[in-house]
Order: sequence, then structure tokens, then C-alpha cells
Amino acid sequence: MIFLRLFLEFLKIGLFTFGGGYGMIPLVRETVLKNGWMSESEFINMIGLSEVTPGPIAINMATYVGSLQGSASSLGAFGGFLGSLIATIAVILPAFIVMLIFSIFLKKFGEQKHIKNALKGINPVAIALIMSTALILLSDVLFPINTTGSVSVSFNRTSIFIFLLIAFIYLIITKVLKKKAHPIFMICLGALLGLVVNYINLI
Amino acid sequence: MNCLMKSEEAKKVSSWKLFLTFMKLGLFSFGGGAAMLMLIKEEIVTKKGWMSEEELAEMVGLSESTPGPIAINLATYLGYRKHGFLGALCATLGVMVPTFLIMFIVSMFFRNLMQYEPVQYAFIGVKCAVVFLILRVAFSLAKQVKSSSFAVILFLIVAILMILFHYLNIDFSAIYFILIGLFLGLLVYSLIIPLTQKHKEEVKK
Repeated sequence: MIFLRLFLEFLKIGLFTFGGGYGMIPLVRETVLKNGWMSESEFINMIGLSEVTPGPIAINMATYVGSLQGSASSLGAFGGFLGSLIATIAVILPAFIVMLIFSIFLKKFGEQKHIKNALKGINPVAIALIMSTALILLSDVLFPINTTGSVSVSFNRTSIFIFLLIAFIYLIITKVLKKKAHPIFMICLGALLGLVVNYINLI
Repeated sequence: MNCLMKSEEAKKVSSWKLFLTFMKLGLFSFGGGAAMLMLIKEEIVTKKGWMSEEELAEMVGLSESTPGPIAINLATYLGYRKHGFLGALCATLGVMVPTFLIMFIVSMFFRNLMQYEPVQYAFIGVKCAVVFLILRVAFSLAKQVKSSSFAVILFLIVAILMILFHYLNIDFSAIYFILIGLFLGLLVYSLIIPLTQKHKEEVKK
């Protein structure tokens, strides 16, 4: 049953994510790919949507995946609502319960010696997961590997061009103009460049 | 005494108010945790005076040691302190409800939008921007790793293994890596380092 599946998968994601929204990206990616809920391309689009909508990225992603899978069930549009609600509650439930227990019993939970020690191991792993996912996504977007038939690496010229333009504009904004580049600005810039480059046939 | 009573009095905030405040925080924070933190500081510390800046900093540190989004951790913690279990529930729902509703509506329309050519073209660029943003976060987080050689080695091994497993199509969940990290952190810092220190002291004697 898809709803139970959604609940358990997002409960797991909520439980094993440390250090904020970006820490969730490797786990969500793994989950949607493994269950065949989304392609990698759809997954990256979803992150783009999460960046431009308000609220924590974790909730955005849970709601989106839940809606997509729920509406594919026999319940239709209501299934979509139910699926997104279930996934969203599941993803915040571990945080809510752990934090509640902490608030009630231990004030200095974070200063417990062994918890601190365990985190010294968890933190580098969590950051390594984000880094490797970022690099995998980078190579998949810019140099997609064709695994049907003989394995071959292709160059996605349009994407490489847009990516370099984005990086260039980002460097100008942050290093030359000394201003901050907001994620929403970066996503909108990407959308604009996507339109311009494809319609003018720049490349 | 009077001062203490005043601070006790100031602690009580209605659940409804907690719900509304965190709803506002959820609605006006775009682009994840860091952006939200600025907003939380302004609203909770400066405007409402519900907690001090030091408390907030402590809280953020604590959020890193508990699972889940920082916004939820903070809502639950502050909600509980201001109005018990009901307060925790209302503050958490406050963050969740608007985010959830907006994303649900977006999810219903987005699939239909994707059949139009301009949207597809725009999303070729959006994908590049998303990858750029994640890379940027990954590199700024990686700077934290330098603190110890244990962290650097663990970081490199996990990152290389993850990429290898991806290309070799080996099914190994990221959750196992997190659990291995937890185990190694305890092993090294709670067991091996205290033992070797004890041993050194004995040798000295």
C-alpha cells in the first residue's frame, strides 16, 4: 500500500537527517529512485521548486513526493492530498518527538558527552553524503551517461554552457559586487538562461 | 523575587499566538534553513523577546545534534517552553501547514505545466542552478570538516565510496553510512582516545 510506504520511507528520512534541509537531499534522492517514484531529472526539478516555495525544503519535498504518489493511487486527487499529508507528517514526526523528549527530560541533551562524540562521526559522514550527491548530480546533468546499449558519456552542451554562465554571474555578484546571491535569484536566473539559450540557439 | 515572577509571567504565550508566529516564519522563509534563521532571530529574539540570542545560538547547536529540519526542532522546543505539549504541537503545525498547502498546490499544477515547451526549456536552466546551489552548500559545509584528521579521513572515504557505489550500481543506503559514522564517532572519541590517554598517564607514572 502506497500510503504506508510513504509514511515509513519519510519517517526513515526524517530520522536519519542531520544538520538541516540539504542533509535530506541524499536520502530523498535514494528513496525516490529506489522506489521508482521519480527520475533523477524530476528529482532535480523538485529541488528547484522547493527552493522557490516558502518553508523548510524537507517539508516541500515530502509534500511533493506524497502528492505525486498519492494521486497515482486509485483515490485520485484526494489520494494526492492524503499522500502529501502522510509524507509531510512522517518527515517531521521524528524531529518533533525527539525535541519534545529533550524539552521534557534533559535540558542539556546536546552537551551529553557521548552524543557529542557520536556527532563527531555523523557530521563528516553527512557532509560527505551531500558532497558526493552534489558531484553525482553535477555529472548527471552536465555529462549524462548513456547506459542503454554500450556505455557512453555524452556532453550536454547547453547545460554546460548555462552552468558556467551561472557560476560566472555568481562570482561577479559575490566577489566583485560583494553582494549576496539569494537562492531564489539563482533559480530564476537559471530559468531565464534556460529560456534565452534555448530560444536564441546560442549553442 | 519580583523579577523572577515577571519572567515566569512572560513565559506564557497562547497556543494560537505560537501557531500564528511560526506560520509567519514558515511563510516568509525561502530557500532553506539559513534564511529562516535570520528571520527567527528578528522575530523571536528582537521583536518578541521569547528567547535571548545566546539561547538561540545554543538551540541551533542543539538542532544539529537532533534529526530533522531546524525549523521544526526550534518550533517544538520553543512551543513546549511557552505552552507545554499543546504549544509544541501548535508551533510545529504552524511551520508545517502553510508550507504544506502551498507545495501541495504547486505539485498539482506543475505536472501539467511541464508539457509546455517554454517550461521545459526554463527547467533545463533551473536544473543547472539547483546543481550549482547544492555544490555551493556542499563546499561551504566541507570547510567544517578540517577540524580533525579523523573527520577528514571519514569524509573522504564516505564521499569516494558513495560515488563508486553510484557508478557500479551497488545498492548501499546512505543510512548505513550515517550509522557507521555514529558508531565510529563513539568508538574513537568515547573508547579509544580515553583509553590511550589513560595508558599514557600510567606510563608516565
